[in-house]
Amino acid sequence: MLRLDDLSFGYGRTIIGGGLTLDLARGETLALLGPNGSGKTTLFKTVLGLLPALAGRVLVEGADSAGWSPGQRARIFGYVPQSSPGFFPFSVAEVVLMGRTARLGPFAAPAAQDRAVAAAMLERLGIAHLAARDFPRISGGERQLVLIARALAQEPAILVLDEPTASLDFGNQRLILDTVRRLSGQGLSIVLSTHHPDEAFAVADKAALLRAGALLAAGPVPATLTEANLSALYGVPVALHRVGGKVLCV
Amino acid sequence: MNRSQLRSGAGICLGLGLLAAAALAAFSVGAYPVSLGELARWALAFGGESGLPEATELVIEQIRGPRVLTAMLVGASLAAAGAAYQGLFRNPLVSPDILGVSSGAALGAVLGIFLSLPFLAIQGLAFIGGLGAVGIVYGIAAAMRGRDPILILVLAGIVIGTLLGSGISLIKVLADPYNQLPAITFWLLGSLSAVNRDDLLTVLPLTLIGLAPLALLHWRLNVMSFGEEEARALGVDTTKVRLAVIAAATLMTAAVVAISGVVGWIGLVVPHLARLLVGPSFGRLLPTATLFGAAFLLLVDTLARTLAPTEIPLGVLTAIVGAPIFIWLLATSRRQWQ
Repeated sequence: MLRLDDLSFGYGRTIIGGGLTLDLARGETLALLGPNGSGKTTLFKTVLGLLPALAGRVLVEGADSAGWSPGQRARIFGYVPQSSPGFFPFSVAEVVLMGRTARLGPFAAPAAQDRAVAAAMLERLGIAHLAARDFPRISGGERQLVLIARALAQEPAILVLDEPTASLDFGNQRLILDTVRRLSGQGLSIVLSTHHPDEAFAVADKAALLRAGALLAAGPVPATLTEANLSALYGVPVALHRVGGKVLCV
Repeated sequence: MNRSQLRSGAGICLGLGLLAAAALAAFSVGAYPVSLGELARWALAFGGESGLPEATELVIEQIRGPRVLTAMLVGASLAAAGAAYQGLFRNPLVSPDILGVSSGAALGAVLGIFLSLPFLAIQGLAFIGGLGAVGIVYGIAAAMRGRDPILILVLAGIVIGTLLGSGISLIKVLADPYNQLPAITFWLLGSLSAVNRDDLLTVLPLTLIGLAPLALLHWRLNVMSFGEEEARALGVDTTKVRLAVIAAATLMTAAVVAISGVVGWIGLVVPHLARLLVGPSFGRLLPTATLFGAAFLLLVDTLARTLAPTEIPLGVLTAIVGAPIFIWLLATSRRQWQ
């Protein structure tokens, strides 16, 4: 599905990371972990084509995505940014409808069928009751769900979530993770970044550990998220405990 | 019909109603009053024999007609450009002047007045000055790639605007204080007292050419209000849309400023009023703001020529009307911009 081939990324002439090779198969979920400043967001932006790759390639189904138009990318990647309140008081339904932009001609506005897709995505995430509310005025957790619905309205092959649980309370974190797991169960390929190894254990098939722009380890979650690797990644001793079928990090 | 369609319909109806009322007032009041009955007789004659005195027909067709239509055109263009810019720059304080179009047009016109050029040449210089200023600003921003393009555009606009402003000040110092300086001051405050049918017919196609891309790109402009990166990730070619919107808004603004002089506040206040009524979605906002802008300036221009024995500059009146409205907007709808 997605393959990063010896990818180097950064801003302008500043190289933040390099030599990254990663694979994501169809329907897999990949969790990207790394301390602050390790280059997670820059890597995401490079994969999404918001920043040009400094070297190497981002391959989608074997095709090099360099030189793709924003519309082409948006039909492959659905991006869920860290929750932002937006600027104007658009309704939730309108915000989700904006996800249809990539499926429209350059001068077209959404038609009835696009509204139907947007409504279906609100339904799918269980937030149809929010449709008429103003996007800036709903809670942070609700906003994150709306942004996921917007990304799903793009009908993407790969969902990319940048720290989807950051700045959310415990209940909303659970809600978002359950949603991610459900979408993964429905066959969507997912890439997300997180600060919590617990979350990777909960939702991901694969993990990639990014430290100072380089991959410390990558692969299936049990083999990658080891006490040794996590301790090296964060520079503090990490212990893993199994509690009731879940893995917790201490 | 859903709620947003209802709001949109209400906005357009209100805009049309205001515009019609403003037009009736504008045609009837003035140094030569025309009654509503006479207006109706003239309108029903469809340009044929109305039986009205020749002087009345002259006032309606030659004097007030072009002025009323020009006021509508100028107001509509400034409001449309302002509405587009507020979404593009994601800032409620943005008006069509943000990239220096007014400063450039003003410098061009002031230079023309200083050189005692004919009126048509002054208008031409103003138009070229407006386009040139925004061209320079856009060029500077485009040369600094890899940074937040919106921020660089705004900063470059401020710098170039200030630079052009000092050029205007220099010419004012050098200008003949008895003939040229009053003309310069009057132009800088805006007026429609000198417009004629030819001005109207020259500017109309330019503003329509500017309006078309804004109407066509209305959905993408909604997405642009989520910021550069999100819009790109949603599939908008932000570089192209930004260039198209800036070019369109600049063309409209430069064209109307060239015949009206600098008229502030409309492009700032009117889009907010329209948004309050029909919401932020640009497909509904653009027609409503355009109608409101037309009605607003027509009303202000009618006041400008009737309130006092001499014409009051438009910029003075729009500021007196616009500032309280804007403060009221700040007080009532501030939360919507967060």
